[in-house]
Formats: sequence, structure tokens, C-alpha cells
Amino acid sequence: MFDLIIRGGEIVDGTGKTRFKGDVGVRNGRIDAVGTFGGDARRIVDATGRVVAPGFIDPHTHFDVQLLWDGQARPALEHGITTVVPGNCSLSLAPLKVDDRKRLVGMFQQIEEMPPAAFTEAFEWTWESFGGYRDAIAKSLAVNVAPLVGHSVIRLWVMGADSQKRAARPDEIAAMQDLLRECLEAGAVGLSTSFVDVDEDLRPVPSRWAHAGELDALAAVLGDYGRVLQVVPEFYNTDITIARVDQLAELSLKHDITTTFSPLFDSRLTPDNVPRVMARVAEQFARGARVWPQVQTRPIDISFSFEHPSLFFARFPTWYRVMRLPRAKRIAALRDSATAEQLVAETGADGGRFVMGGLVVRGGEGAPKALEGRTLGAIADERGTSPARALIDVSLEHDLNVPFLAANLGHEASDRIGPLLADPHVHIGASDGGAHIQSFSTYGDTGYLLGHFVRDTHHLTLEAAIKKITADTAEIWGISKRGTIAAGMAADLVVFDADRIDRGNERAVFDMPGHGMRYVRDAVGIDAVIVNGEVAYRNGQYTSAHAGRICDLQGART
Amino acid sequence: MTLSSQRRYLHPLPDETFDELAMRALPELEPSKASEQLKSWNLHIFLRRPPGVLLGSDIVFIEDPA
Repeated sequence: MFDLIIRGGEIVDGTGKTRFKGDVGVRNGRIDAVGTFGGDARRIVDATGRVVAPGFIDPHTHFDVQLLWDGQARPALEHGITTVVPGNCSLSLAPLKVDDRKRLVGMFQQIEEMPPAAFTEAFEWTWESFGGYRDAIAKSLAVNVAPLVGHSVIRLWVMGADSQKRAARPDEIAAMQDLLRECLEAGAVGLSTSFVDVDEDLRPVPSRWAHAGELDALAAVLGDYGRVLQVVPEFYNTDITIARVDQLAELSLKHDITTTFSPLFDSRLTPDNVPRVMARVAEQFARGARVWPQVQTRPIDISFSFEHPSLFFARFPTWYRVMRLPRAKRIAALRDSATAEQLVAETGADGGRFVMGGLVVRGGEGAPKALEGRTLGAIADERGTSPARALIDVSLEHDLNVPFLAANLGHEASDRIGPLLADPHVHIGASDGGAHIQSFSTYGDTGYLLGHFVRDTHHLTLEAAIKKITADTAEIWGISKRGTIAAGMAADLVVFDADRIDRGNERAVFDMPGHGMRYVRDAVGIDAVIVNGEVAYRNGQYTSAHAGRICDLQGART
Repeated sequence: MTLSSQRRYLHPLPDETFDELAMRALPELEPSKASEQLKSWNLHIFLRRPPGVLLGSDIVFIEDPA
């Protein structure tokens, strides 16, 4: 007697092998039989006319805090994500001393755009150690988790405030190595670091103050454990990104570690960026280095209102400063004619026509119906003013509660992204799941991959695409017994309609702690998601199953 | 496998200033000229906050872009 049989589906097993018709039998959370076999089961999932694939693995997320109140990592799970890697970009919620919590929360808010209530209203902060954090999330997981530990928090633990002031002394580097070992022993899948991020005071995060010798020393520890190094490079500059590829390659070869950098974006404005970086990546792979660029599937869209600071204004210092003011002062600044003039001037001699004219007014709570769907350029023309001035005026007229959408800011050319995603040296990821929740939806990238780049444009076969988000990901990250459909593997499975799978439209919901807003996308075409043999999502509904766990990792070398 | 030629760079040494790195990278030049030259190749370090503060993790190019 099986616990579960997925019956009659087209099995795409994650290896890249051509799909085949068969059943999948599950017992004790593991796949026990695949193909044609006898026997009955306590539960049958009919997969006739559907694809059965391994659960998808998302290697770049920031679900660190959400997992403390939502072990299902909604809505990632309904899109077929059965394993997530949080702790990217040098930030994790452990190890962290009590006195440093406020400082780390500020970094999360600044870098990942997470609302303050997410850290104060939904869970009790009980841990300092990485093992303590692991135990805190492990109590109610519905997805599997392979957590990274952040370089910035390791540095903060050892050096305190000096972590954002100076190089580490040899004794401090040794202490960081010891702390990293402790985290890896407690289940960390690797170390994340960042070369670009700033904290809430716009100071470089601790990891950026580390000289190359410090990172080398930490990479040596990763080598001892066979763990991964993730970095955020200066993705906006091709020469620097290539230098980072070389730096990672040297660390990979010296310490025999896998490295990955994210993101790698394509842009029509810098068309040679991706080709140059990928050429270097190919050279380094040929040397034997493991340097995996992570590429997201979706185009870059950003939504914003004047209610919250937004990434959209990162290149406009005055706008950025005004948006970070307390609400009353923000309104006062926007109403102040001198400040408004400065804001408009900062958008260029055309009054923001080029950078803001294409912004579209979104629908949403409080949004003016008469303006919905119209561009800021058209609204400005109607009012006889500039787009930047119209942005300020429209926002003030509606108490700041007007959402705007900046669509297709980059990475939107399917004829360039499709071949890139199919490149054997590209690691599909960089979703940022759980982060930037008030700027864009970080959910549904796998549906977009399978709907757009497999079904619509045919840049990848279904088998190749599934392999990239399952078996390849498990192998790159050293995640044991997940990523393929075969006897003995964990029963993480997705049943979906290959003719329908997609991501739903982006929509605003208010389900964050403190009635906070975020953008999400619903799953389309997903029938069932199974985690460690338990049906966690079925026919549009989440179940009460919480069978997720901290991932086992391939064996340590020491 | 021979790597193709790419723009050469250095990492800062612990607590090294930009001027000190310039002298290390371009010892044939006078210190002030070395700094000016290096600055022109590394505007990414000067167009950010705090401008010109060298961070340990920085990439510092020691030649022109191609």
C-alpha cells in the first residue's frame, strides 16, 4: 500500500530525458516507484492529461522573515516551488545578537523593501544563533528550506559597529571563520555576500568593507564543507561584473567551491553586457571553475506610489530623499514649490518625459478610476504640464494613494532572454521571492518560464526547462535527494497542465503583518503541489499539510 | 585553457587608501598624477556615497576601458 499515487501523468523527471507516461508511487515521504507498477494507495491524484514534474527549487529568495509566520511561503508554493533558498545578498536573520536586530531590520527594509511590521508584529524573536533560527522556522514549514548565512551578519556579529568602518584584523577573520563553520554545521547551504548594497542610512553594508583576503578565508571554510558562495555583483557595469566572474572563478578553483552571482540582467541600452559576461563565464567553466550566473525569467517591472520608498527612484537623489521622509513631511515637501521644482529638474530637461512619460496609473484601492490605465505623459499633456509635475500633482490630489507602473524597464526582449535561459551555463533563478513586495511580484517566474519560453516561443523544451529549475538547481546547491523523479528521492512533485501553466496578473493584496500591502501573482494551470509526500496545494486551495523541512545537503568534506 | 584579455584590476589591501593603492598600481608616476589617473579609470568609486572612500571589496581598474 502506497501513501500516494500520482496516476496516469506525463512524467518529466528532471533529468532532461524525454517525457514518458506512468505513475509515481510515494511511501513515507519518498518516491517509491515510477512507471508501471501494481498496488493501491491511501490517496490517488489523477494526473491524466497533465505533466508530473519534480518540485521546483527557487535559489534566490528572501523568505527569511515570512517563513516565521507563513511556512507555505505563499504564493510561491502554489506556483510549484517546493524548496526555497533564503538568506541571499549577505543578509540572513542569524547569527544575530539581540542588540543588532534593529540594524539588520533596517538593512532588510532598505535593500529588500520589507515593511517594518513584518519584523515586529508576526513572530517572537527568540534566537541569536543560526541553529536557533533554523529551529524557529522548522516548526511549521510547508516548503523545504536550504538557508544561506549572510556575510554582513557574520561580520556584524564579530566586529559590531566597526563592521561598517574598516578591514578586519586577522583574529577577527579567524572568528568569522569559526562562526561560519558553526552556521554550516547547523545546516547553512552556503554564504551570501554583496558588493552593491547599502543600509537604511545609505552606508555600504558590512560585507562591502571586507577585503579580498577576508572573503578568501571564508571561502576556504566553504571549501572544507563543500558549500556554495552567492554574491551580488555590480550588475550595472559590465567590466566590474567580468572582474567579479574572475574573482569568483579563482575562489572556485582554489577552494573547490561552487559560486553563483545574481542577478545578470539584459538591457537594450547595454546590448553587449550579457554576451560579454557569458563569454567570460564560458571561459571560466572551461578552466574548471564553477561560476553560475543567475538569470530571472520575467521582465523588470516596478510599481510604486508615494506611500513607500521605491527602487524606481534610486537614481534620483532628491526624489529618493523625499520618499523616505515621514508621511506628513513627505506631503509638505511635495507641496513646497521650491522642492517640487527641484524634483522636476532632476528628471531632466524634458520634465521627466523620457523617464516618467510611460508610467501607467494602476488600479487599486483609492486609485482614481478616471486615470486608471492612462500614461503619465498623456495626463501631463492634458494638464499642460510636465510628466514629473503631473506625478507630484496626481499623487497629492489623491492623498499619495495612486499606484504607478513602470513596465519593461529591462530584461524584456524575449528573443534575447530565451536563448540566454537555454544557455547551459545559466542558472535560472534570481526571483527575489519574498522581497521588494511593494514594488513588484516576485512569484510566478516558473510559470512564466514554462508558459512563455517553452509553450509560446519554444526557446526551451519542457524537459530542458524543468531540468534547469529542478535537478540542475539541486546539483548546483548540493541539495540531497531532491530535483528528480526517481525511486529514493524526496516526493516533491508538481502536477500541471502544460497547455495552461502561466503566472496570473499582478495584483495588490493586504495580507502582510499590520495589514501591509504586497504585489502577488496567482498560479495558473497548477493542479497539485506535493512536498515530502504530502499534498500541500490542490485545485486552487492550500491544504493544512506542513511537511517541509530543512534540506539535507551533500556530505561535508571534512 | 587560456583566458582572453580583460581589463586588469586590483583589490585594495586591508586599510589601504585610494592614494596608496594608486602608488602601488602606478609606481612610475608621481603620487598625485597616479591618483588622478586611477580616479579617471574608476569613477564608480567616486560617483557613489561616500564618494572616493575605498571599500575593501572594491574592484579598482588599473587601465583604460577597452
